[in-house]
Amino acid sequence: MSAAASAQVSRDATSGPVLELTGVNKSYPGVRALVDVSFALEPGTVHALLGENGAGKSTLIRIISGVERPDSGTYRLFGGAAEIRNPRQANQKGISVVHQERNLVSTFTVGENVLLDRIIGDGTRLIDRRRIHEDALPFMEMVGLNVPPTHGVGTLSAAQQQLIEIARALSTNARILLLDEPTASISLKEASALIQTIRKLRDRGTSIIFVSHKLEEVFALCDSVNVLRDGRNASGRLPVKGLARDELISLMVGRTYATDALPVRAARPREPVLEVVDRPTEATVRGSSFTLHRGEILGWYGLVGSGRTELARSVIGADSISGGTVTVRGRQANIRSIADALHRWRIGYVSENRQLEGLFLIHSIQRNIAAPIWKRLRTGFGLLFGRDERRLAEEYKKSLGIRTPSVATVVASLSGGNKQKVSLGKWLATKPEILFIDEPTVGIDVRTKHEIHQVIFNLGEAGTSVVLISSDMPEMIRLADRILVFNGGTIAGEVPNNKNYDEVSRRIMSLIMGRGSPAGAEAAHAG
Amino acid sequence: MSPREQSGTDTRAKPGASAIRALTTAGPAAVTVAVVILVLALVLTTRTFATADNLKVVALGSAVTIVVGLAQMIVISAGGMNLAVGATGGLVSVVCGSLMNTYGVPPALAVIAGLAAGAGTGALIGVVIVRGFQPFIVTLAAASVLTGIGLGVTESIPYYHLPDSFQAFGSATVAGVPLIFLVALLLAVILAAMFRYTSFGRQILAFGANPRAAALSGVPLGSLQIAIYALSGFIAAAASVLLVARLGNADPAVGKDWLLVSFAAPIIGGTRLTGGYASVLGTVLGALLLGILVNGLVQWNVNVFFVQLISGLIILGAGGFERVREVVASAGERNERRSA
Repeated sequence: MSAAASAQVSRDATSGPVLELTGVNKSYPGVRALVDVSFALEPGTVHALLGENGAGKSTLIRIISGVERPDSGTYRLFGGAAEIRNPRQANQKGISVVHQERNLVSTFTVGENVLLDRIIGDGTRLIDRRRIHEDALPFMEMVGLNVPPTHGVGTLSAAQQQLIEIARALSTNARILLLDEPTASISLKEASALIQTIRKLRDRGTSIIFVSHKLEEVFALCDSVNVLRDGRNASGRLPVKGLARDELISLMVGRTYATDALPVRAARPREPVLEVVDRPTEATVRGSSFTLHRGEILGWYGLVGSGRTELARSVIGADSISGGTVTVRGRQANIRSIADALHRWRIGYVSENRQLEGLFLIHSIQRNIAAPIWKRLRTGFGLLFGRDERRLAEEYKKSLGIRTPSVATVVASLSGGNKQKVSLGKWLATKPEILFIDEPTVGIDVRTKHEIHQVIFNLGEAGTSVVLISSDMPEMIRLADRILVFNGGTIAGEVPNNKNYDEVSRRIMSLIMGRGSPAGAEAAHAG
Repeated sequence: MSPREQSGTDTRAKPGASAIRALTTAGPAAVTVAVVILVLALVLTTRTFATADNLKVVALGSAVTIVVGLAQMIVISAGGMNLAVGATGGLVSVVCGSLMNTYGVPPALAVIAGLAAGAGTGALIGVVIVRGFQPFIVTLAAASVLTGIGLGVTESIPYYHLPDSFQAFGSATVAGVPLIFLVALLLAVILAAMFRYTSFGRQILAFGANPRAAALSGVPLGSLQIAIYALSGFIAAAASVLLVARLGNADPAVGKDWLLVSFAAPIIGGTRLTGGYASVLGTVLGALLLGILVNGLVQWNVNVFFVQLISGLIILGAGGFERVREVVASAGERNERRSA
């Protein structure tokens, strides 16, 4: 049906792309962000825009959406030359952008947020709240948002908030929808629902630009793809069908990338370093138990909100939780605070949210990396010297490959991948014996992702025990020695990892999906 | 610069922008320029400004403003605010005055008691804030409570005729420079060293920049916040002691005019209200700018009552400069990210 519908649309539309940029150049002082870039969107298709961080995607998005104007090049919309001076004009002409970060008014209702443009667009008219809520409903239905329009937005999930923004875009009669990493902060289940919704929108004739780092989604959803690299087209428009994953990756990174597995790890004696028994968390009072061995990379897989972060936080003393027993290297540990975990027990936690929890964005790289060990860096008289911080930061800049001219650079100015490396470096500097790493590669380009995987692998090889929390199945299977699957706030089961993707992922998913169903349980126990 | 170079390691080459960048990133640059221009203008247009006696007046006046500004700066740099700086000063004045006059305690001990009272009140404020109350509300309430205590105990009557030795401290000079001005500078130097060379100073800035990241870095948030407000109270107490020594009597209303200048000095000096930055030098220069301005208006025969108006404009100007700085910085960041 979908193919028929999109074919229908193609026939109806004036021949040729709905949006076409040709020979676009854009420079900022000292930087050529886009060089002779061309981009075309065919009617009624989902078109992926791919590229590493810094490849020029954001600049292209800003030009398409009217935030910035190109230095040169042509911009054609629905077959005619278009001049778009600002986002409002782009909107009027039928282009809507759903940005990566949410732009909702948290104190307004769902309906008010959907029709926000109408509410704030005309300051002179009185607002009929009931009308707003009624009128919002059809757009909410279009995106499958099943909450009352009078509901507040504050308590909704990230995915539902995303849907509100898509509904808002549709309410402005968007014929071209640009989605910038729409699945970056939502769970797997929600992401697949969103992908369904996007398909439906496409079948109704909306043309969609889909920006994502997740190749699985690109393959599942998109009809065609454009890759940017170093501000240029790395390829023309390619049909997704028949394209190999490796081919796409090498287009992005500019060389054939070793996507093969990391070396097989040698068996090592199973010496427990962290034993947790019946530990309750903020997510659930039911206790969780697990054992982590020296040099092991223990994967914690689960959907967002399945209790993984909560258990990690509970163990490191970040939430005031008590109960159960925690044994570190054979000694009963009563970890009361993060400082305690860090300095006394050598347990670190790399937050999933590097912007909000991991980094001091306005401070320099060296300040950030040294932060957890200022006390250890102190010299005689308890004084701390900048040069010691710098030396430390230089060390991690080198070993992690942080791309920056100087460790005095403010972290806010780094790309997402480099920020994550700083966040990691900050914890590696504490020389932890146990390290929880929470979603280390969300929103990070392929090359940096591989570099970070190598870092985590090396940590395990060097004898550090790692708990890897991830919702990224390929990452989990690539790195983990064994995998604990979380569901409903606690550990649902364990899956040994033999690196056979199909088998392991099937067993993991059956543990998550098959709760209560005999078939699922059977699958989980099968070979 | 070719894209190939951009994808390498150097992401910062921005010819031409470097001058603007230098001017806008160096914290106290603007206030330094402002102080120099004001002093030059006064030296060129008046004969009375650059005299030893007049400079001494400026130094005496600025000393207290410097210390008051530092008391506020500490808290601002941690992302908070202390509306009770003046009220703490008033209470400390009462503590010192009553100890010396009513109970005959030696001045040195009275001063120590006053400083301890200031630190104690600050710590108390910190304890309440750690319980989850907004700093604005807590310090606003504390300001009222502390003022109430001071006025209630004294019935608003100052302690006159403080011991001679104490008054002598307030008017003493070292090589012609007022002692209390030197004390203010010494305090500034100690604080600057604290921010630069101690993990406590770093923790304050880290907390101001991102409390959640600070917590995950093992910074003990509770005790840190209590220490920050205690330090702010201690410095406010020091300001009170200096002012009381200079005036020669201990007025419970000694800090009633401090609120505006306590914020003005750090803001003019480039400290950001959002936390994470501190500029001790900037705060000192900001306080000096205000002190010289008051003096200058007298020299220029301008109605001194306009001083408030002009201070307001300067604060707004500093805020505007801050805005320009942010715009330039974020433009720079965008460019860097794009080329990273």
